[in-house]
Amino acid sequence: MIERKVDLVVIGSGPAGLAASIKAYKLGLTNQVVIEREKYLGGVLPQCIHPGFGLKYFKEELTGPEFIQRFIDKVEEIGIGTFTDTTALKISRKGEVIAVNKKLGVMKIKSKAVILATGAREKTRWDVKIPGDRPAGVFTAGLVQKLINIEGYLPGKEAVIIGSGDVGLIMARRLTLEGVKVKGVIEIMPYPGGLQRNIVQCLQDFNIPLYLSHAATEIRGRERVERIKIVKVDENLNPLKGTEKEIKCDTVIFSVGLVPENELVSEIGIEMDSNTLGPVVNDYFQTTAPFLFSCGNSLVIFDLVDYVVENAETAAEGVNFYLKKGMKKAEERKVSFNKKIKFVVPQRVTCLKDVSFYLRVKKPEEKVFLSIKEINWRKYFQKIKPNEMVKVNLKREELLKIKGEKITFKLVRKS
Amino acid sequence: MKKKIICIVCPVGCEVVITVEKGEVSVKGNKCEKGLKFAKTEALNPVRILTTTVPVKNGEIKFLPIKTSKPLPRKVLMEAMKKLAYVEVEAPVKTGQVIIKDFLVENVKVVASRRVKRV
Repeated sequence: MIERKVDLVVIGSGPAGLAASIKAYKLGLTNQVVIEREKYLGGVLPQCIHPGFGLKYFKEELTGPEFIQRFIDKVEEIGIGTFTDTTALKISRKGEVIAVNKKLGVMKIKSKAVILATGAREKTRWDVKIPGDRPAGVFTAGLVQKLINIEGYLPGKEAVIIGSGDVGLIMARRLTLEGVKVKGVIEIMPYPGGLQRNIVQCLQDFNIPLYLSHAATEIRGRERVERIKIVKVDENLNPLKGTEKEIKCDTVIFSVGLVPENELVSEIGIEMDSNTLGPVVNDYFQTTAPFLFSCGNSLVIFDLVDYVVENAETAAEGVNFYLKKGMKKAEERKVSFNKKIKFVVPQRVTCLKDVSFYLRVKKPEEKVFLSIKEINWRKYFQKIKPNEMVKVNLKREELLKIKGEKITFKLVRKS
Repeated sequence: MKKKIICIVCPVGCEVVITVEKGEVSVKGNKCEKGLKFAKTEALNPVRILTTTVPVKNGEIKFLPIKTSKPLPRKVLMEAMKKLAYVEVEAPVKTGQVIIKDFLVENVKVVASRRVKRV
């Protein structure tokens, strides 16, 4: 068995993992390794061939492969040790990572710190419970993206997409360009799940119908998908009688959201957030196990890779701070929020530095104030939507104004 | 003509109102210069960046992601896809390498979105 001793193990080589790794290297943590399950570095971005990445971070519009290539080139240039085709199996409470690689066998990597950048997994048909038959031809959007863009296969000839998340919308366009007939996108909510720009450039550009307030009720087919049934729903998401409709298709694609992937740490018992499904972290993205840091989609589902990179770099700074200065369990203030807010990350703040908070609202709202009572801060939003993550930057000086142990975010209507 | 569109330059997605009168285009609701430029083009001749893949021979991967260096008129996207169906490249490929010069429109290039090592 291979045994190694390092200062840092990064698990995952997507944008979060590579950005964290490069930043940590620049800060002097040169004795580190990156572990990647796939055969290639980059996580999901090599398959995201569409443009729209990097507008904030690089100030130019890049495709996914171009965006991640810059990080891969950097990793190769400075010579960070990477293990591809290698699956991390276990992290012990002492920071020992057990991983396995087909050629090298089992590896035991003793590390002073670990950054989790394991990304997300797609929700499937079973998460949204669509009954009916179990024929071939049912996919998730990210899988279809991989099949087309990496493997070069089309999933079928006539497709219906369930859920209007960004990946689903982007695949509606991609499938259409490749000659697949996309017969519609079914969204149960009265508003789309993905960004407005994707509704325009992926659906409207190609006259693909978007069925808002519609639920898929059945998938039918003997061996291959033959048709799906949909129905209109009211504001309480109850089906409306007499609005049932059948759509013939051979492919059903689910784009119904992502779940942070944290199976690897389920055994070591760190505190988790039931709203984000990621670990509870402080503003250095340190989990409740001091050696363990979390960033990217395994922490919380982001909608912009630019934010992922930014938060991964902060996690790297956190590791550096923890290892060099021996960050003790600093005094932390708890972040809380009112009912209209779904989550706020980080969940704790040390007040040792400036902080960027990331939050999402539960429902679309208009004319609202986002406020923090303790520091007398507020910001007005004409419109605020669940599909667009809100970022709030606060200076350390402002955070130091907090007297108690709490910092409370509230979303309230303008009165 | 008055038209309400969503600006797709960036993920903010501003609602922009375009008015065309006697060939003059006026734009309201944009929050940046890029949005103004986009809205004007969108009113008269919408354009889009096209991204797709082409097979790559002897490479570390089987398909090379490509993009157009500039946006193409929206109406030629399907024609562009048909043309690209006959294109194949040979590894090695560098990021940004020009695959086709003057693709459908003068000065629009098809370029590689990533590097592909030869194996």
